[in-house]
Amino acid sequence: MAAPATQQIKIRCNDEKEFTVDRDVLERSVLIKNMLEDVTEQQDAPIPLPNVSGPVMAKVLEYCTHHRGEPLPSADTEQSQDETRKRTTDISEWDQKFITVDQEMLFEIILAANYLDIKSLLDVGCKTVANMIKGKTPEEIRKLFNIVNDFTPEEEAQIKKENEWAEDR
Amino acid sequence: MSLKGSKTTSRKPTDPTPLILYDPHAQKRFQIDDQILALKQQIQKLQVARNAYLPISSLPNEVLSNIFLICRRKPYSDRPDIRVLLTLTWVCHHWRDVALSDSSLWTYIGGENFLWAAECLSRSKEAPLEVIFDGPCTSDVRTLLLFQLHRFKRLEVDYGSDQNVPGAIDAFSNALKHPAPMLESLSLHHISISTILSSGVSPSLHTLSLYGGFITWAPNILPLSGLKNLSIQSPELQIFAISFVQLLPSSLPRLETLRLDGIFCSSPASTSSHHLSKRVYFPNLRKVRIGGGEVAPVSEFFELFGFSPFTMVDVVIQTYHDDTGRETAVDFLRLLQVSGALGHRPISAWIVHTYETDDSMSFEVLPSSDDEKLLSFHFMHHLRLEGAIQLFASLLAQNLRTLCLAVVDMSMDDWSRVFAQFSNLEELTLADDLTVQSFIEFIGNSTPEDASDDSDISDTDSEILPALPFKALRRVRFLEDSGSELNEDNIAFCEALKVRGKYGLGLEKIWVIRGMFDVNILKEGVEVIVQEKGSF
Repeated sequence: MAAPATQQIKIRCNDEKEFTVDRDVLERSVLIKNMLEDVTEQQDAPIPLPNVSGPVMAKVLEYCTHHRGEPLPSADTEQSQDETRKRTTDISEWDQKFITVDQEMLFEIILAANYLDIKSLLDVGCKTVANMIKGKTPEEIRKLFNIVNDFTPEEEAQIKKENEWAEDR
Repeated sequence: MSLKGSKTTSRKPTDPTPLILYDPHAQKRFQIDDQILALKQQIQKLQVARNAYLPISSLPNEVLSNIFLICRRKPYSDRPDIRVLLTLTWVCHHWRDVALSDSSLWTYIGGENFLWAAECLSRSKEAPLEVIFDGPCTSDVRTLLLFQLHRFKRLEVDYGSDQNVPGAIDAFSNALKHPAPMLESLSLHHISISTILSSGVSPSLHTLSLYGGFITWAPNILPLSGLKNLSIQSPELQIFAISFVQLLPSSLPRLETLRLDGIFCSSPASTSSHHLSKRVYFPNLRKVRIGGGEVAPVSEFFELFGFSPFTMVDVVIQTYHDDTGRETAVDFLRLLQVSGALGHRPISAWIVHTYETDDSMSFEVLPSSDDEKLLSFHFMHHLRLEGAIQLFASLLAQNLRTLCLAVVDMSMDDWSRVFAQFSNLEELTLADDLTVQSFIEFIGNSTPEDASDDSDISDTDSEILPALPFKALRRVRFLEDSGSELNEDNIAFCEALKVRGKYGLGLEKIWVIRGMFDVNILKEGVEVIVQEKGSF
C-alpha cells in the first residue's frame, strides 16, 4: 500500500549532510521513488546518495519542493513533452530565478538531476546551458566555459571546409 | 629516426626552389622542426587533457548531447539550426566527438550541397531522416538522398510555384512508388497529389500537408487509413471542397486534425438547408481549422459537419469593407452557435487587435502564438467593436480567462460590458496607450470612495464588492509602448488596483515594461515584475 504523502524520509549526501524531507517531495526523483517502492518495511536509516553533496542537494530539494504535487512525466506524456521540448527553449520565471547560479553549481545541479532522474530539473539545466551557448561563436563559447582550442590548424581547416559545404546548402 | 628533410628526399622534383647541396645546418634544423612538431603534438594532448578537467566536462556525454539537441532548436520552426551545430563541433575535440557520435543531431538534410548531404548521411548512420528539398538541387544530390528513402521519416518538397526543376517531379513520383516504411510526414508544395502517392508505400504516414497546386482527390488515391493530420492549403480547394470533405470521415477514420485553407466556396450541389441529423461526423477529430473563405460557405461547412464537444475549432474568415460585413459576421457567429459548432468548448485566450486602415477599421481575434490548445477566431472586417464585444460576450465570454486589448477605442460602456460579461477573466493585457488610458479612467470611475482606505473588509465593502469588476482578475500586463502616458496617471491607477488586491479580489502579479510604474505603490501584497521591452 502506498505510504501517506506526509511520511518523512531521511537522506544522506556524500559529505554526510542529512536531510529529512516529505516523501512526496523526494519522489520527484524517480531514482528515490523506485528505491522507496522497493523497500517494504519502514526503515530509519537514511538513504545514501553518494553522488550528491549537501549544498547541491539543498538546491535540488528547493526545486522539488516548489514543484511538489505536479504530475510526473509518464510514458504517455513523454512523447508530447518531447515534441514541446523540440520547439521551445523557454524556462518558467521561477525556474529561471532558481537556476541563476554560478557555472559550477549549475553543472552540479544537472549532474544531480541526471543521477536522481528528475527529468524536469535536468531539462531546466540543459536549457539553461543551451541558452548560454546559443548565438555565440566557437571562441566566445570557449571563453564562456574556459575551454582551450585544442584543434591543430589542419583540423580547423578541415572543419572550416565542412562548414562551407553546410553553409552552401 | 630518418630525417624528413634529407637532401635526396625532402624536395619534390617539381619544386622550383634551387637545392642547396651542402647546407651544414640542414640536419640540425630538421631535427628542431621535428622537436617543434612533437612539442606541438604534446601541447595539443595537454590541451585536450586540460579541457577534460573543466566543470562543463563533468557532464556525461548524453547530457552534453541533449544540450546540443536543445541548441539545435529554432523558435517557431520545425527546422533545426544547423549553424549552431557547426559551431558546436568547432569548440574542442570533446564537443566535436560528442556531436559527431550522436546520429540524431545530423538527421536533417537539405538537398543543396552534395558533399554536405553525403556528410550528413554518414554522420546520421542509420537514424531516420528528415529531408527537405526547398532550393536548388542537382540530380546527383536527389539521387543520393532518394536512395535512402527507406530511412525517410519526413519528406518536404517545396520548389515554390516555379516547377522548372528538371526531372524533379518525376524523380519524386518514381521514388515514392517504392516502400518508405518509416515515412511519417509528407509535405508537398505545388505537386499534384495524384502523381505522388500510391498505395502501400508509406504505412506509417500520419501527417500529410499539401500546399498550392491543383489538388484532385478521390478516396482510392489515398489509402492512408492511418492518417491523423491533414492540411490542404490551396486556392483550388473550392472546386472540390464540400464533396471532398464529405469523403474524409469514411476514408480517413483516424483523422485528428484537419486544416483547409483556400477560397472556400460552396459546391454546386450543396444547399443551405442541411438538416442537423444529416450531418457527417468526424469521430476522432480534435482540431479543425477552416480558413481563407467567406462567411456563407464556411457557415455551410459547419452546417454540414459535426464535431465532438472536444474538437478545437479555429476559423479564419476574410471579408472586405462593405455595408454588409457586420451583419454577415454576426450571422456567422450566431450560426456557429446555433449549429453547435462552438458549443461550450474551452477557451484559454483571445488576443484582440483593432486597427485603422484608410477606409475601415479592422478587427482580429487571434490565439496566443504558442498555445495550440486554444480555440481561436480570426476575423478581418470592419465589424464595430461594441458589436463584437456584445457578440463575443454572449457567445463565449463565460469561458474567457485571458484577454489582450490593443488599439481599442474603448468607451466606459465597453469596459463595463467587458467586465460584466467576461466575469471569469483572470489575466488582462493592455497593449497601447489609448487602451490603458481608458482603462485607468474606467477604474477611477468605478472605485468606490469608501473602499480606498486601509481598513479591513467591512459588511459595507462586501456589499459593494460583487458589483465591482475584476472579480477573478489575477494578473495585469502592459505591453509595448503603453508606458508613456501611464506615468502621469499611474498613482490613481495603482491605488485602484491595490484596493482590489487588498480586498480579496486576488490581484497577484503585475508585469511592467521598462519600469514605467512607481512600483513602490504596489509592493504591498502584489508581486510586481519589471521586464525590459521585448522580454515578453
